Amino acid sequence: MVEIEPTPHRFPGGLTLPGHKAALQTAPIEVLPLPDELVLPLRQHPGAPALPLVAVGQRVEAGERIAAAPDPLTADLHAPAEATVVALERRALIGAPDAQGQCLVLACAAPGSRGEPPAADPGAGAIDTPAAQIRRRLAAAGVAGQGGAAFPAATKAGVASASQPRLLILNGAECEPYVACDEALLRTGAAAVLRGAEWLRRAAGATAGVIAIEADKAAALAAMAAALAATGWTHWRLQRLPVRYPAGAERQLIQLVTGEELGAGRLPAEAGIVCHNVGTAYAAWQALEQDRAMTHRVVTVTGGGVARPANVLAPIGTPLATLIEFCGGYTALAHRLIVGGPLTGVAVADDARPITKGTHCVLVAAPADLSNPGPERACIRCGDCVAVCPARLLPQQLLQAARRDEDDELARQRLFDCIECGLCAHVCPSHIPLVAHYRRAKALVRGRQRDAAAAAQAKARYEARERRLAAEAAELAAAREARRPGRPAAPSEVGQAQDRRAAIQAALDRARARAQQKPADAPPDEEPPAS
Amino acid sequence: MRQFELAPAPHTHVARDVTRVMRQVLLALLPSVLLASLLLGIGALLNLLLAIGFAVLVEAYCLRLRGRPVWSTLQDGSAVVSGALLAMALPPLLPWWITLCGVIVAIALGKHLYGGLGMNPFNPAMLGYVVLIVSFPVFMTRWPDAVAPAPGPWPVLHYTLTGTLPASTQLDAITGATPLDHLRNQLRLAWTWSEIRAGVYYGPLGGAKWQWLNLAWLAGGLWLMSRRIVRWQIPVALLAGLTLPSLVCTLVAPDRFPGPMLHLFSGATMLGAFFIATDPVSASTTPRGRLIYGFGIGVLLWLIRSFGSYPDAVAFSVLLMNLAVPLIDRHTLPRRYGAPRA
Repeated sequence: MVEIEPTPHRFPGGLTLPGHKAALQTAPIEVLPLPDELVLPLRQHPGAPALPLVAVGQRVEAGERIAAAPDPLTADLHAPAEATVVALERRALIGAPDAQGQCLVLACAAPGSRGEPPAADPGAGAIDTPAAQIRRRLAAAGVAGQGGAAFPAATKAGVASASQPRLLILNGAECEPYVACDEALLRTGAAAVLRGAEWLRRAAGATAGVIAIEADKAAALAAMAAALAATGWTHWRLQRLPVRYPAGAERQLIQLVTGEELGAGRLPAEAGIVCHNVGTAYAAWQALEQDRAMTHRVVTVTGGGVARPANVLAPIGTPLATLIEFCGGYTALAHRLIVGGPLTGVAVADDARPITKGTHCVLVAAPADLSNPGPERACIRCGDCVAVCPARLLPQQLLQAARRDEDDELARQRLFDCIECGLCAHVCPSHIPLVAHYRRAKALVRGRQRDAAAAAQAKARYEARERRLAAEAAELAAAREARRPGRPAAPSEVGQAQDRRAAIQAALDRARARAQQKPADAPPDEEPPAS
Repeated sequence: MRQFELAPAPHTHVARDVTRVMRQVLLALLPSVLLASLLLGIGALLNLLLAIGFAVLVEAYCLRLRGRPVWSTLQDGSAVVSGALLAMALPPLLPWWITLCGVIVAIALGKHLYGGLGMNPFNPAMLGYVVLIVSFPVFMTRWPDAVAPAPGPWPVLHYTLTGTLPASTQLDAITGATPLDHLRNQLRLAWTWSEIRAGVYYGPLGGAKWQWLNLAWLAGGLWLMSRRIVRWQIPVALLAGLTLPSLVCTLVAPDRFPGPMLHLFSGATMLGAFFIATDPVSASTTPRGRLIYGFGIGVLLWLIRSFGSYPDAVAFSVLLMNLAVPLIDRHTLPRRYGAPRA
C-alpha cells in the first residue's frame, strides 16, 4: 500500500469553510443524454478566439475538429457528437453580464442518445512516447485545463519542459465548497487519472510527481493510493492537503507541497514546477489512450435551487438549462445561478449560456446557500481580512487605494498580488464587496497601462517620422547644394561675401579632387563647375 | 430561459457583522459598569446612560447634516460604544452638561468631521475625554474617595442634574484622592514606595477599588479575545510596554518606582488595553504594527504616570500613538508573498 503523506508546509491566511459536498461524495458520475443543440464558444481559452473550420449547414462527425487554435494560448475545438452546424453567431456567454461571443451552434444528429460511456479499463503498460509527440497529441485533442482557466495543456507542458521541471503536481485539492467533480473522477477513475498525470509528467519532462488531495476526500485518497500501488511507480507520491481554502489555488498549492512562495511575477515553470488539474489528467488519458478529443467534462450541478444535485458528464457546449433540467429542474428556492463555486464563481443573468472546457460547477443557489450579507457599512479596519488573506495583503488598505484609484498606492499595496480568492469579502463584517473593487481597480490600471503604452508607441512613431523627415530634408538640401554650389546666398544673410568665397573655394576643391580621381585620358563627363 | 439576479463574488459571507461586534463589546463592558456603580456610586451607571443617549442624538444629528441614512447607520452601534467608553473614563460625579460636551467632541469633532466611522484618525472617546480634562480640570479630577464607602444615590443624582450637592452633603465628604493621585502626592512628599504601599489606598493587586475594576475589565477583555473580537497583539503589547519599564525601574530604584502590579491594576490600565487601544479604526492594522502600537501606548502610559503632570494617562498615550499609526502602518507592511525572508 502507498503511504498518504501529510503536506509538510503551510500557506499564510486561508480559512476552513463548510464543504457542502456530502451529498455528492458517494454519488456516481451521471451521463447526460445528448442535448438537441450544443453551443461552442470560439473563445474558451486565454488566447484569441479559435478559427472555425466548418461552414453553416455542414455535417460533422463526433470528435471532428471544428475550430483551430490561432495561437498557443488557445486549443482546438472538436464536435462532441455527430451533428449539423446550424449557425455561427454571437451568443450570450458565461462571464460579465453582457459577455457575448461567436459560437458554433451544432444540432445533434441523435439527441437523447447517451453516446459511448468512457472505457472502464484504464490500460497498462509503459508510457515512453517522446515528450514532443505527447504534446502534439494533447494539442490535437484540444486538451485544456479543467480547473477554470482552460489553459492549453500542451502549451503548459511545452513551456515547462524548457526549464526541465523537477515536479508535476496533480491538483486534486478542490478546495472550494460545493464543487465535487474532481473528487468524483478520482473516486471512480483514479487509475485513468493517474495514467493521464503520468502522460502529462512525461510531456513536461518532470522528474517526479505529487498527487495532492484535500484530507476531507477520504474515498478519493484511498482510490488513488490503490491505483498508485497497482502501478508500482515510485516517482509518484500521494499527499493529503489541509482542508483550508484556497489550498487548490496554484501558488498556495505549490507552497503546501514544496514550501516555496511563488511571487506574483513568477511562473511555476521558473521554480521547476508544473501543475495540472485532475480533470485535465483524465482528458489527457482519454486523448492518448482512447484517442478521444476533449469534448466532454464532468460538471458538478448543485445547490438548494436544483432538485437533484449530481456530478454530470456533459458535452462541452451544453446550455446550463439542459444540465439543470437533467438534475430535476429548479426548486422553488432557486435564487441565483452561479457558474463556479460560491467564492469565485460568477453569477449569470440567465440559463441559456453554454458550459465551456473550464466550467467545473453550476451552483443553483437557494437563499440559504448565500447567507445574505446585509447592508454594506463603513470599513472599521478590524483586520479580519488581513488574517485570512493567502497573498499576505492588507485588503482594507488595498480597498482605500482602489477607491482613490492611485497607481502608486495600488502598487504599494500590491494590487496584482491579489488572487481573487474572495476570502476578504467573505469575512468582512461590514459586508464590503472587496474583490469587486479590486477587479475594477485592476481593469482601470490595465487600461491606463495600455493607454500609456499606446501613447508611448505613438510618440516614438511621431519622433521617428520627424527624424526621418528632417534627415530627408537635410539630404535634399545637401544634394541641391552639391549640384548648384555657386548659387548666390540670400542677400539678407550676414557675411554673404565670405560665404560666397567659401563656396567658390569648396567647388574648386571638389573639381580638383574629381580631376585627380579620373584617369587622365578620360573625357570630362560633365560640365566644369562655373566659377 | 429563466432570468436570475446578479451579484459579485464571493456569494457567501460569515455571519459576523459590525453591529454584532459592537453589541458584544458592550456586553463585555457591562460587568465593570455594575461593579463601578457598586464601588464608586450610581454615577457610573448614570454617566453610561447619559453618554449613550447623548451619543445617539449627536450621531443622528450629524448623519442628518451630512445627508447620510440615519436609522441604518445608527444600527452599526459605533456611537453607542463610543459613548459607553467615554462614560467609563469619566468620574462618576459629573454634571450632565460636561458629559454632553465630551460626547459632542467625541462624535461630532472626533468622528464626523473626519468623514464618519472608519475615517477618524483618533479614538473618539479619548478625544472627548482629553478635551474635557483640559477644559474642566476641577470637575474631571473630582473622584469619589478610594477608601470611603461609595456616595449614596441622592447626592450623586442631584449633582449630576444641577452641578451642586444637596444642602446636607459636603463635597469633601464624598470625594477624595484616587490611588494614583495619592501615590503621586506621597512620592512628591519624599515617602518611599514601600511606606506608601502599606497605606489603606492599596490592595493586594493595585489601587483600592480600581484593582477590582481592572479585574472586571480584564475578564471582559479576555472574553472578547476568546471570541476573536479583540486580537491579542495590542493588549499583550500594551501590558508588556507598561510592565517592562516599571519592572526595570522598580528593580533599580524600588523606593521611587512602584512595580508593574500597581500599574497593571490601577487607573484605567485594563480598560485601555482591552477596550480603548483596541478600537480598530484608530489603531494600526498590520500584525507587526499592532505590536508596536500597543507597546508604544504601554511605555507612554508608564512615562506619563511616572514623570508627567497627570496621574493617569491612557487617553494621552492612545492619542499620541494614534498620531503615529500612518507611519507605523507604512513601515510594517507584511513581507510580500514570494519575496525573500529579510
